[in-house]
Amino acid sequence: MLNLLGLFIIIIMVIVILLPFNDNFWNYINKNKKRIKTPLNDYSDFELDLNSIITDYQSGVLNDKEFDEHVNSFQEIINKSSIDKNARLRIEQLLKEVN
Amino acid sequence: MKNQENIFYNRMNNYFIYLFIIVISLAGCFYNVDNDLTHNEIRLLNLEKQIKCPICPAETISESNTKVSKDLKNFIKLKIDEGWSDDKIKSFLTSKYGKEILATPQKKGSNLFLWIIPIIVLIFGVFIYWSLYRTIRFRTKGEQN
Amino acid sequence: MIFGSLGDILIKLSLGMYIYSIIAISIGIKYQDLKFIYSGRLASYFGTFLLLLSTITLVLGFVNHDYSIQYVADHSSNTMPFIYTWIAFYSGNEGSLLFICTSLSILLFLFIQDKKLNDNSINFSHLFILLFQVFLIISTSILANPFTEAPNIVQDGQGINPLLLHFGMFVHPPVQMLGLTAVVIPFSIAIGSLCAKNENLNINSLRIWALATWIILTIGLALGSWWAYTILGWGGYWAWDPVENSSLMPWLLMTAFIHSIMVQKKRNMFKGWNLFLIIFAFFMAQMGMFINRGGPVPSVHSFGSSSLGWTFLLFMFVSTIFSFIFFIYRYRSLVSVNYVQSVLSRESLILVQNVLFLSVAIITLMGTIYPVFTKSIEDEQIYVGREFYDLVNAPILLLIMIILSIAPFVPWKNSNISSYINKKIIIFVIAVLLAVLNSWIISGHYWVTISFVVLYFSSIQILIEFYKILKTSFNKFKNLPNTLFKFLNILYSNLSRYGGIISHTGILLVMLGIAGTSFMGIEKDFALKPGQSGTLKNYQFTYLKTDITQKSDHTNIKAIMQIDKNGKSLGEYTTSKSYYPRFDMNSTKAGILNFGLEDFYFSQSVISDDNSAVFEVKINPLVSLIWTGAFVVVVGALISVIPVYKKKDKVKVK
Repeated sequence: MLNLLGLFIIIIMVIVILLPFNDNFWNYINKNKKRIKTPLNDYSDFELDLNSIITDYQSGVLNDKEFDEHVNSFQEIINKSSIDKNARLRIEQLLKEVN
Repeated sequence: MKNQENIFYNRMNNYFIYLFIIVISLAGCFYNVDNDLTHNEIRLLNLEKQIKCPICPAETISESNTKVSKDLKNFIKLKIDEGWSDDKIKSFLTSKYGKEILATPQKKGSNLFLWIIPIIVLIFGVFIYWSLYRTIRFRTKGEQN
Repeated sequence: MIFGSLGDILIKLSLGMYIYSIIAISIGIKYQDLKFIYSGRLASYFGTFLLLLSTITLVLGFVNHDYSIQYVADHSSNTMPFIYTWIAFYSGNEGSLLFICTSLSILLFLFIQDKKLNDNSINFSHLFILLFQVFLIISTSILANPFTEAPNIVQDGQGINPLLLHFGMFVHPPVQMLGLTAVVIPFSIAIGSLCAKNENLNINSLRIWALATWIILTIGLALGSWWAYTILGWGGYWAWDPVENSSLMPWLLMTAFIHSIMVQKKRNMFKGWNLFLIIFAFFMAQMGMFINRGGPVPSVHSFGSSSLGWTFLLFMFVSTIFSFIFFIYRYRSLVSVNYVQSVLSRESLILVQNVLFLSVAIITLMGTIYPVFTKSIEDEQIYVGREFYDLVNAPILLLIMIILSIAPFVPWKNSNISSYINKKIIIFVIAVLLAVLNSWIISGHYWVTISFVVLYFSSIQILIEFYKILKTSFNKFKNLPNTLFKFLNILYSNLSRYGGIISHTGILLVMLGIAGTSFMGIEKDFALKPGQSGTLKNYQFTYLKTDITQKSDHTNIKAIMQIDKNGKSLGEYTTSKSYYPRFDMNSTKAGILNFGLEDFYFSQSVISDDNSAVFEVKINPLVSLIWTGAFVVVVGALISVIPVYKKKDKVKVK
């Protein structure tokens, strides 16, 4: 009896692991596909800098004067460096929102 | 000139404030408790933590509630009241039960190594912090130029 | 009955599934064939299912008193309370191993949910988790199989260790074991992303799993100390016992880790350091499992097996060495552009905190394995008692507390020391005055005063922070409902920070509880005859009588005390001791009265023939803050783990 049960489980196992090799399976999966979260953390280092300045200000760790100082020095640095175009656009956008 | 003087006085004021605070806090700290236990009773509690229960795998007589532990506790209490010093009690017990009776390894002989470990670890810790701080700084300074 | 053979078959079938999984995933990665990846994942899911079934059969074996299984006979009896038969399966070495295998399979199941098939860092991580899983299953199945048949079937089993007949048995062991096992997940995420040349170590996934692991470890630790407090009869909650240390060390390293990955996420730094930390954390977690079942270090609660421990040790060294070699090999890809710019910046303080946590972990490790060295070199069995650890670790922990009260309120990148002092001086003064006031009222030792200073300093800063947000929200809207909405919005925008602040508050409470019990606690033994009284501080207690009841497998000796406080009667309370002849063991149930901020604790030790007894009476100030604080810590961590969906985040870069 136990042997039969074991055999039964093995058969199911084999079926399950062979499923992906059948094309119909993929059609079925894609029909019911859930939206998969796209994680992303590919900000450039300069954006991280600006983000940390902003969060520090919002959480009260920096006061107004210090915040302005930090943003100004940040702007000086990025004007002198070469950044990827997309990143620069996003940074400009953020700076506009901030001011 | 005047501005600089102001800054100097500000700094001095700050330092006096810090000093004042430290003095006040120390004063509060020394208001001590322990009127509820006699000096001998406190000694007993400390010694209990230093003697291992002979029949337990890993407990001091302070934690164990076996009869042997209780007997040892009573013995120590007796000897404290008789006027024995901590060291005399400990050496008596060591001669009777062997060195294994001590729960806190002595700060001498081979066991000194155990007590040195924390110092080594902290020095090593400072070294780790310093090296992570410095090397990254130097390397990136090079890259930025 | 068939439970034994069925359970055994199921374990072996799951092993087959996982081995297939390893092969399929490896082929899938090498040839970038998604069909193999998916097949491998399905096999992993199936493995979870099989291990769950196997565990259920073991549980059913216990519940049905199936003594044809040796393990059931060794750890249960006909007379044990029925409800404990449901959990007795993880009370012994073999069953707890099966529990660990099953927990890992469930974690693996959760890990691969919703993950893209072509994400190689996930696939590599999956592979490493599988390697650990296969190791565990082979160890269980061959070296410590819970389903081994009994050579002859007994009428009644040995019974469960009497110390385990306590509510704590339902919660502490499973959570603790789950926590130690869970460390492999963040470890595999980090190493897997390194293999897949993923530069940021899959930081989002890594952070969530690291936090989840840490939360489980925290709960396990808290439950363990609470259980020890109520059952062990000496009125303390932490004795630096080797097994306790083995669960503390991974927690210390994971605490350091969850902070340094925050630096990685916010500033893209410390990647190499993070990798080092998580490799070490996994090493410690395995060390934990080893000490628990290996046996070279005597402890109050080891399982005491033999060859199994050394297998774990071997795997631990092999996995650690390989990880380090690989880490060195891939080191250049981890170097970052950003650097620590100033000593008083949040990155710098977190690094200091990390080093301090690491120091406590290493010192504890050295103390724990020191007896092994002296035994092998000089053939002396040294015991390292709690006094050593208390003396050496306490100052370091205090330094960590001081950093805790400074770092969240210091900006990233850099900050000016004198401007910081100028900003905080008033808060510090108020904190000191409040703490001194406290000391005069509660009559504290200087350690308690210092702890209070840190607590007040931190709390005032936290309150100011929340007040500032409230003020900004109010200024913008000037009416209450919108203000509240805006307030919550701002909190939601930075959940990880505010969750972290709540956790820190919890830690401060725990520290205060520890300071209170350690430095303001009073303890004394009283030898009393029935009718005699004793006094300790403002408590008066009278020993009334002893009731002795004979149960089927134990003798229960219950002492009844009348307890008064400040002259007012509180009623009668009991403490009992149960003697189990079959185990030649006593289990104590202490009498604990809780008065909010103080515990009155008493337990009896020796009872003589004339019914006179020795009572250990202890007053534990502030001890409930420890349990409350632990709860707050977990709540805060749960808040930071909640995933936040921001519209901005949908933009993908590069």
